Amino acid sequence: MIPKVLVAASVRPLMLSILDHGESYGYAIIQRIHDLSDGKLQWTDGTLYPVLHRLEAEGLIVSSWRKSEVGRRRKYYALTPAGQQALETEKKYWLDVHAMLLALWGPSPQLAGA
Amino acid sequence: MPSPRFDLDAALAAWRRPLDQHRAFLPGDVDELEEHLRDHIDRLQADGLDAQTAFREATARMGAIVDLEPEYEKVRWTKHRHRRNLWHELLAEQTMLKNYLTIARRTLRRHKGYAFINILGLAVGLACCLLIGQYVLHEWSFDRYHEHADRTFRLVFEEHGEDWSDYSARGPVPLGPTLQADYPEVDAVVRFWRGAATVLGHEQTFFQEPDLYFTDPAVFEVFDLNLIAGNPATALVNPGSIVLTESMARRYFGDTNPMGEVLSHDGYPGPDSLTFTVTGIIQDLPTNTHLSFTALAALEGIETEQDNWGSFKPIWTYVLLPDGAAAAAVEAKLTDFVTRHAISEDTFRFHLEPITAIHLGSVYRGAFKPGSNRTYVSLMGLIGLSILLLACANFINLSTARSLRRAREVGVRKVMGAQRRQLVMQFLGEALLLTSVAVVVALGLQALLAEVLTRLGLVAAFAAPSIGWLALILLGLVLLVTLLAGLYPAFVLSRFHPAVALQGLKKARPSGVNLRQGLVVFQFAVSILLILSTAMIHQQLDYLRQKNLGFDKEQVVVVPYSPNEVPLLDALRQHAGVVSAAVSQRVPVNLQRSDTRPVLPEGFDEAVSAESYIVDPAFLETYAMPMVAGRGLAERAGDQESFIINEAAVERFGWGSPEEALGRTLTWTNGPTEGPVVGVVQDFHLKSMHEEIAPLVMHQRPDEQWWRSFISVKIRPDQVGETLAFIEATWKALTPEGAYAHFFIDDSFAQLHEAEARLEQLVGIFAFLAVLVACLGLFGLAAFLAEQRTKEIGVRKVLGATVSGIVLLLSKDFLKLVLIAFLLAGPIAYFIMQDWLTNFAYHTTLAPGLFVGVGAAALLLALLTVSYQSIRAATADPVKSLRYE
Repeated sequence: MIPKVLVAASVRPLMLSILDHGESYGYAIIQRIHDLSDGKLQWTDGTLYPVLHRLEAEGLIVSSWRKSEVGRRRKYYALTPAGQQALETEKKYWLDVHAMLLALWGPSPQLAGA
Repeated sequence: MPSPRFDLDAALAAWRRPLDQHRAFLPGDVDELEEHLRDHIDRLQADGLDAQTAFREATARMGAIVDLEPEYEKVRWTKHRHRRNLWHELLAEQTMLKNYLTIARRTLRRHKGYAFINILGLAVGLACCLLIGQYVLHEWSFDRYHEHADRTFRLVFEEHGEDWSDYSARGPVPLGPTLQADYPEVDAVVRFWRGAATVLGHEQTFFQEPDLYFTDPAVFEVFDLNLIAGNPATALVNPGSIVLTESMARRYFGDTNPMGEVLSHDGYPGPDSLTFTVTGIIQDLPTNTHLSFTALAALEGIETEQDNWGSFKPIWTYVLLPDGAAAAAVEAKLTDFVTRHAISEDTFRFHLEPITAIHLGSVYRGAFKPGSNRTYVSLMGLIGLSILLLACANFINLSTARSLRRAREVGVRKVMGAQRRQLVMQFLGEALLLTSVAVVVALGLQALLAEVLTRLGLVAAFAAPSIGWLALILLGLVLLVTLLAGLYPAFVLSRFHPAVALQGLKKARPSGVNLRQGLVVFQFAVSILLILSTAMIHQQLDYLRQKNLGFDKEQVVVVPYSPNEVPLLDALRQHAGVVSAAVSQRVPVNLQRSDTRPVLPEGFDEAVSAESYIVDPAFLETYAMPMVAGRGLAERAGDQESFIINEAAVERFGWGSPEEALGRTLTWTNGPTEGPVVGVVQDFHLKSMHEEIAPLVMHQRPDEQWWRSFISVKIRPDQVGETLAFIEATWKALTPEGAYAHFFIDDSFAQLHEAEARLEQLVGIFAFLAVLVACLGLFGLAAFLAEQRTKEIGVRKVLGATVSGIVLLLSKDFLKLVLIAFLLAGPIAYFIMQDWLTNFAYHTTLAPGLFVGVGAAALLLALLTVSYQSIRAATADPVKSLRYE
């Protein structure tokens, strides 16, 4: 199971990325992360909402209440241009980290040479 | 298997209740979480779980409130950081605003005494300020309501001699028409000539009409007079036309239509045969105009003295110019105008005075009614502002004092993560609540005060400023007071470091103390200034009342002249209640008639201007005017050319002593009459105490009628009522077409100084209110400080301190402040009053005793205010007070 610190760090890019595919509401977003991680990411659902609210306060996403097709009120979130930009930055960070780790773990000339 | 008794909606409602009540969650937040649970439960049920199990699983996944709350709380502050704009915050976070108000309300409810003192003090201050504001606006609004106010001017005149100057608002009869003929840029000219000794009658109703004016038809063009009936173009064109005010029309005609009715006329000017036909009705004049008339009659047809450019100046002349800027150009041409028409020597000057400037401080003598004084109005404004400042000072004072008490609360809030801006908002919110309540109370108080002041006759009914103005002023006041009164405590309180604040702030005290002491000094300085002013005005008025006027003003009643003079005087003189009766042109200390004439004293080449006074021989006796030299006038045929002069005239004519003046020759130029001076009368006051006693020449003209205006009757102090009834009955019987009215000379004298008497009462009332506000503030502050020192007092008592020692300890700081305030206010009051007194030609001197008295009174008042708290603190049981801490 993925440790808590890592979960906390990855929630933000995960949410931005999901919303990059189109607007969505809280339960669906959380369910999507749940499905993607195949249960490897564990959290209490309630704590994910403050993350959304914070993103909203930072102006990266916007929200609006709407009736869903089944007649239930839902708060939909969508990415703003600033959010798009933030996602690009996040992407770059994670890819950088990823590249570093790969370089260390994969069959790489640096390791082989050492 | 689904449990039949499980109700999902009820379970969800029960689940969300604690969250709804938690301040970390905004209403939308909990909704969102509930929708999440519902989605999740739907999904779990679709997977085959029963509702109850699904609910349990979903809520478990959601997390407990203790896990969620800190996360939500963190986000709230993020939101604040991203909304820097205070205004935005106010609008976006109504919830917070509501929260501030709730806290404010609770705080106030817990400290009712504090709230009461603060609200009352502020309300009194605001009410005074509003009232005075209304008064100042009213004074300022004079004559601005006329559509052409900015281009209407009054012609005023100056004459300068070697050692004298005369400023007058009235000019010669032919001036207006000549001006219009000479200068095409003059759009319109309106003249007013006040009728003298006017009596109007309709059937058996006769009234004296002192406010009948003869005027030109253009009056409707130049001034905004609301004509209810009649045609403005023609109403005053024909000779004998008259336009009445509504209330005057009602007096003569009741409810019947007055248009076309006829009024008889007796008086001057005008031909004897003059009668009036009512051609128009206007609304009564508003209170904010310098004009004052009850009837306007056509000047056409009664005009006399058409070529008199000389000293006879009975007429007010107003001109309407194309615009305000034309005034300077026209004024420049007036010098040429004077030369062209050979009006007078080069001593004569014309000026144009804007009508809006007349009410507040025109220097030109003679107006429709007494004007106001710019100094009085600014003084009142200053007083209003001071009282407002005082009330605000109180508010600041009490709030900062209380801040020490609330320091702990502030500390807790800060530790809990409250930001400085929120604390400022909270304190401003409290201030706003207090000021709002105070404004409501103030409005009530103001209405009450206005009613009382109007009833007392201290202020004329204000021309009400429009609602919009009032609302605007109020809004401004509330904001200003909230900011002034709320900002300081808000910032001081929110600045405390939480650690210091939590300790109870004993050490953070000194910074506030200086300011608070300064405010107490300010409050008492203003109060003492007002009390001193009241006392000094009172002293001057007392001086005026006591001053020897040079004649006996008591028990002299004046009635109008009756054509059946001889039988009337005979009847009066024979009555037991009458001491003496006399006919005269003028009566002293009454400005209804005035007459200034050029006289030529022996040894002079040029005439000198002197007060002229035509009397019958009994006049001096009736007023008990003492002779300094020579004799009075006698009813001898040869005495018609004899003159009596006053001491000021002896001085002016340079005749040395009264004795030396006897036998000198004098020429009264408009008659002319030449004769010897037979007596010198002691100086007596003709006018108000503002004016010096002028040279005066008195003589009799038994063969002429025109001067006969008043009959003065000196009556015995007992049976006044009966004697008055006799005078009235006799007068009416002998004067069938006359309007009876009487007045007492001492009332006349009082009326001359009415403005000062009003000022005294007004300043007195405001002084009282200022003192009230200051004492409220002091009371609150003393209560607070005594409470602060509860522990200290307890320890002192346990160690053997006496009650009186402790009272002294608690009071002496305040007394020191009051003493400082007195030292500040004393000299200021002295200079202001010294300046005010120079308005009077005759005035009292400022006695040091007055200052000492007022200073002592202020000290005593402060001591009384403080001592209640001090004594309570000093007599408290030390065991209790020590346990309390």
